[in-house]
Amino acid sequence: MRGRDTLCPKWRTMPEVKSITFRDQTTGRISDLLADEGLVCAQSQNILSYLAGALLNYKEEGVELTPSVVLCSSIQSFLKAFPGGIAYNVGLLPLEPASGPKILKECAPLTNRNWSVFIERTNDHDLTYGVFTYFRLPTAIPLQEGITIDPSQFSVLVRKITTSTIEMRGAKGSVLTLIFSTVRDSSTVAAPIEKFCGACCADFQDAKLAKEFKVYFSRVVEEALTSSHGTMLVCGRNLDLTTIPELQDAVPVTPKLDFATAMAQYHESSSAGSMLALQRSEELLQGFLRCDGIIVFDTCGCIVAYRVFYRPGVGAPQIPTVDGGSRRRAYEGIKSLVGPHLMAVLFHSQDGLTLHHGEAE
Amino acid sequence: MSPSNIDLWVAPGLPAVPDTLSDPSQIAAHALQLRERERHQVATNFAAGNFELASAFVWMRTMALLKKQLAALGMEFIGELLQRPDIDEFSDVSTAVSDAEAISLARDLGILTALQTMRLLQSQETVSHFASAQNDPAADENEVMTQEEAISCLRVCVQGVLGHQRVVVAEDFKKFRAKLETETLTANAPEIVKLRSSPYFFVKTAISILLALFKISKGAQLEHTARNSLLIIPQFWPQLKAPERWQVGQAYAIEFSEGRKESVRGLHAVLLAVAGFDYVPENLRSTTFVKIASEVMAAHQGMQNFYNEPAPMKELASLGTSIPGPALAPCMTAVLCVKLGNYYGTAWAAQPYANQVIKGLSKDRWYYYFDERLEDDRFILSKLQEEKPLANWVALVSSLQLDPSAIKNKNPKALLRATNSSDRVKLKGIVKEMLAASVR
Repeated sequence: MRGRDTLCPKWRTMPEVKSITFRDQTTGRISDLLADEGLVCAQSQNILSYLAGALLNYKEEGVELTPSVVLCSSIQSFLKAFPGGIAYNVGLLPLEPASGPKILKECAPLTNRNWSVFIERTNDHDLTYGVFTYFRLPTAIPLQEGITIDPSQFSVLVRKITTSTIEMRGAKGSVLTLIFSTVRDSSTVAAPIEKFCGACCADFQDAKLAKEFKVYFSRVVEEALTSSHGTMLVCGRNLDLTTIPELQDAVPVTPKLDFATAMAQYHESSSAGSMLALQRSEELLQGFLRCDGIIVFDTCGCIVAYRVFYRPGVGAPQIPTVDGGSRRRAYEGIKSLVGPHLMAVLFHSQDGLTLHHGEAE
Repeated sequence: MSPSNIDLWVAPGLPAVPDTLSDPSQIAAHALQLRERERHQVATNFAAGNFELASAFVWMRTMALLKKQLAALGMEFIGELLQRPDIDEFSDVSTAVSDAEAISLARDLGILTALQTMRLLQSQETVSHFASAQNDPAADENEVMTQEEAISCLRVCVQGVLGHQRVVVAEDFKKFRAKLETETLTANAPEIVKLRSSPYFFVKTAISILLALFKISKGAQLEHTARNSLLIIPQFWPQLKAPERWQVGQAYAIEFSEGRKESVRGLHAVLLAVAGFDYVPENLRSTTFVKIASEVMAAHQGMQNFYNEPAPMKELASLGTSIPGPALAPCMTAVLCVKLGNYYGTAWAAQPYANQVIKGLSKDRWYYYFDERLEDDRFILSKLQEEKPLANWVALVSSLQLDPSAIKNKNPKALLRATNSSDRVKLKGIVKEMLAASVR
């Protein structure tokens, strides 16, 4: 039997059109995650696949929204683990991926730091959806950690953790990180942030407060970086930027943005005023992160400058060749300041790469 | 739970100061915790008729020693035992814990016997009244402490605290606490078996210990605590009264809000086992109520109470009438302290604010108080043994027109009946029985 190519030479030269979709890779992994979490349901898997893609760059009216979405079997049972939990039902739809766009359309604009979307798998055919919140004090357990409090309650949280990364986290502790990038294989955010935040409270007198501050501040920084376009944070002891030639181009924050005092006051009184003071500080940090340049912290939990630009001095060591843009090159350069001037530096790129360099390294 | 004579821990043996001993110098000689010079001064002041001076000194030293011993257990632990979320490791025991709280707690931990507890609670009112009168220019010059009152105060202070070589919590209590955090107990462990037949306040204290351990322990200790909680709390949940159930729910909410994930997991498992999520408060508003209620109590039990009660009472009233569940019991106790006053009367300036709070309490909340709190409310029960507070109680409670049939428990029901019929003799008898049961 003669082959087709020998019959028609034209076919032999026609270019083959191929396409690779991330869906092919994600669905299998999502199926595994669901199985590990005790649910075998093709439609739930399809909804999660849809959400993974949709949340990566979800916009309404030109504004990017980054809702956290919880798929669960009962929102009321799920919220039992969260004191002060309250849910508002928005609608009822068939349990199928086609429902995803409607859910996001109606719920995503309602979400923010405190409000998240839920999708309750009512039965094999239907779902109920809406938004929920819980009593969330500055030091309270965040949703991504709280989801594992009750492993017996099926739930999966989907959220965007960097510009190219979606994380799925189940109640039983399964985690699936979907990186929509061709650059790297993995992305670890929490560990570098935690190390950096440890440096930011290195000079706290009260060890217990330092410990609490580290946990709190790590959560704040992680959350802030999720929505950031990429940034760099540095931390140093008794910093005087005028004495560091490479960091002369800076806007000092006067008086210092004092997270430590706000936290200590909150710890002492837990009053509404102290809580507002903390929230105000968090909002300003978000604002700093929206600006270009480096943000400078001291070791007592304060921000001392922002819009700081690294200018390599004369005779600065040669920066090794690295992949990435100017921020990454600045990071490689600024690493040489760790030790003589700085304690730690944290780099976060637009596509989610997070690196830490500290005195001990 | 049926009361019995099996106690999980017992107070140390009584020092050799019999109740019949009434010579102040002989009683003072047994006060091992006082220096020789101080013992001599106490005896001299008694001989000179300076009863108020001597009693105030003895009382001050007794309370300081008692509180110091309590503080040695850790202030966070004390805060949990007292159900006072405002107390943390930085709190000063001498100011944060009132005398009456210290006495009651000392009973729970096996430092004092039941009788010493009741006598100390009575002496406390006497001493604080005369100490206030010393600073009050308007006080009646002829109103002085009697020798009998002073000797009674001295004797119980020596018997309970000053007469001991060292003031210590019961050894069994210490062992029990240590076991809860270092071992995973089994259902038939001797401690658990004993706890099943112990009076209610042992169960209450055991739960407070577990909740305190959730706050302070970590690693393996926390794991033991979590497993022991899962063994103990569900077993006693059906008998637990609402304030103790709220205590468990409140502990969960606090741990959650402070981000302690491992503790939260342990407490979640307990709440899941007892279906107790209704007792988890939606927010921590109750902390503010409890804190102000404690300030009212401290002012009421302290020196110059008639002057110091109005300010915190006003603050409590200003918090509004929607008192959150976990704070209801302490708030009602505080308001009742102000309304009932003491042997010498009430703080007039505090009454309008107390009335404001009382006005906002529905009948259901009174029934809650009678069923869930009164039987263990040593502060109020000890007050009801005095004539004036008892008269104030009858006037207040009978005006509320509460229905005794709405109350489940036997003694509170009988107490309300006696109150409604103004039968003070019967009332006193019931109060005596309830107070004895609360410290037994």
